[in-house]
Amino acid sequence: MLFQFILNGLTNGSLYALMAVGVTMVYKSLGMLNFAHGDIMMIGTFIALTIIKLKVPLFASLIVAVLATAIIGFLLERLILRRVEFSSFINLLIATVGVSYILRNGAMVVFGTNPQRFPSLFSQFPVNVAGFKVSPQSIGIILVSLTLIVALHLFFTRVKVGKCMELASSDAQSAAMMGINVSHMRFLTFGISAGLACIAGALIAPLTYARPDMSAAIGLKAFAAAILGGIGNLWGALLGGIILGVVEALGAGYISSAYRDAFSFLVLFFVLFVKPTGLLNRKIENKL
Amino acid sequence: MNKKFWLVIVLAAACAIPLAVPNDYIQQIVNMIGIYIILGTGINILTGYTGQLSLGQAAFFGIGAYVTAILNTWTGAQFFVCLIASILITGAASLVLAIPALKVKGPYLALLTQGFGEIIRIVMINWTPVTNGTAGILKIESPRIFGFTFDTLTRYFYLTLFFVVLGLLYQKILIESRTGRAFIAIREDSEAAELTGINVTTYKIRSFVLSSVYCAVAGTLYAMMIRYVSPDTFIANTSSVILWTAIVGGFGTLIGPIIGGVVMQTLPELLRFCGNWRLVVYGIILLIVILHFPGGLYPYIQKLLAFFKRKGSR
Repeated sequence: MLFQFILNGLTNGSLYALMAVGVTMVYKSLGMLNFAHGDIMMIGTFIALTIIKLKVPLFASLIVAVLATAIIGFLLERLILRRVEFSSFINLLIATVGVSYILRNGAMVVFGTNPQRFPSLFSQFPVNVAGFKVSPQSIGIILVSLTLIVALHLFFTRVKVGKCMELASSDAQSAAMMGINVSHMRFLTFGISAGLACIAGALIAPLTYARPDMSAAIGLKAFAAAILGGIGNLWGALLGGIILGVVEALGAGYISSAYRDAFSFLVLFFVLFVKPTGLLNRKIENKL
Repeated sequence: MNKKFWLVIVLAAACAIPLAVPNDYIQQIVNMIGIYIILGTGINILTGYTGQLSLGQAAFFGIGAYVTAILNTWTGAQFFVCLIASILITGAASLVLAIPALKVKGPYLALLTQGFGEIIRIVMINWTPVTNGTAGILKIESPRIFGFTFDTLTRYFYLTLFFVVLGLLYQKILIESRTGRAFIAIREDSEAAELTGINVTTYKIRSFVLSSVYCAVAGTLYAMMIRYVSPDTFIANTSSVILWTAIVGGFGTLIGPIIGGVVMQTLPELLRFCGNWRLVVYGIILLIVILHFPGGLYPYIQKLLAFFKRKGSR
């Protein structure tokens, strides 16, 4: 049983990590949590589902959906956030909450409120490995998430554009002085973040079905994971996601599955109370 | 003198509202405006004056409503007992939230309060023996005060109006007092406030508890008016609407919540012609308001009033 719980925890945890990476990237460049992140994930999932229903092969439709979601991310940054950025912090936050409200209610109208089946990329039938039941789906999700996060890390440390993005988000002024177009970089950050959210959504949906209200809980957990690990830190997001997933799975398994979501929020409370800077960050310049 | 005169006129006009209301449906909307003015005033004190952002007001609203519903259906307790119990329990809940909330600010605080809202909603859904799960609690009695039953919506309007006026008056007294000035000092610069000898921690806690008391009053009024509570009402969307109620009117202004309450509650009804897209259009309009009127509508209304005054004096 314990093994099963931990495997479930790792599966969910790696998905939270994938979402948390997007949250962390945007936070670094904007100085603001993007409260519409979960809803972008939900919209991405439904775009993928719509394309799949047109009898397009699963893999091709996922690629199209990721691109489409990235465009939504671009639009969010260009049309809305850029305009309120200079007015005040509260307006910026309210703007992302407003976008979240519009996307969620819009999805309920367009896609309906009923949960819909989402085809899985991996086989769902468990395989026996050394006496334990392991589903290829769990392993697939963990591997895909890990690969993406490692690839992202390499992108930020080895590729020129990635390095520019990193600098633009950590120190916009010096980046601009060195000839980096900061606003383009932020544009790109939003696109990548939204694209990752779409992939996460496509991996989550086979487990939970595609629903317009799937965004709220997962969006909050992504924030929790990002903060737990230390916001702005890629590996922190991974660590935070995994810890959150495992705690939640153990809590659901041994205490009560109905209060599953409550466990991760309790973890969030605890972290914010004990160490608001997160596990991997020493200190944070922007005092919390 | 002139100001008091206007106040009396406005109050008399407010008392006459039911005369102009054609049916119960619109009366209910008017009553909801009252409830949202109370909610908006609560968050105005917390966010508008003290600068502490909250995305979890629906949780306090919900606790207030559920305490009333449970007390009334289980023990038959009447209005004032329910009200006081709601205020006490909601205040205690806000103290629990205030402890971690004191250590964070900005987006983290918004996140913390939103997480709190989710936990409360999960409890409402899953604590079935007490909250009756997703089905909610039915058959709450109408309030009876000194033998007078507020059983029609028109009668209920006056009860709501009483609490709206009380809430707004208290807000005015509070903001002009030492406490209110301390709140504003914390909003402007909490370190400078600390240096001038303001105990930032206790004032922040006070602000939290006060805003939750407003939510508790609104919750009691809501539960006894609709006479039914369910977890669907107290979701994150409601928290956003409460926050917008204060923002649309103008944060940190005394009458901002009134404007916000009216706009936020009438707009969805005016948008009925949009059918299913109603809430989407609603969201888009609000987003445009935030983008173009960052200070809310209050400054513009003030300008308009000043314009008429000049015209009148000429």
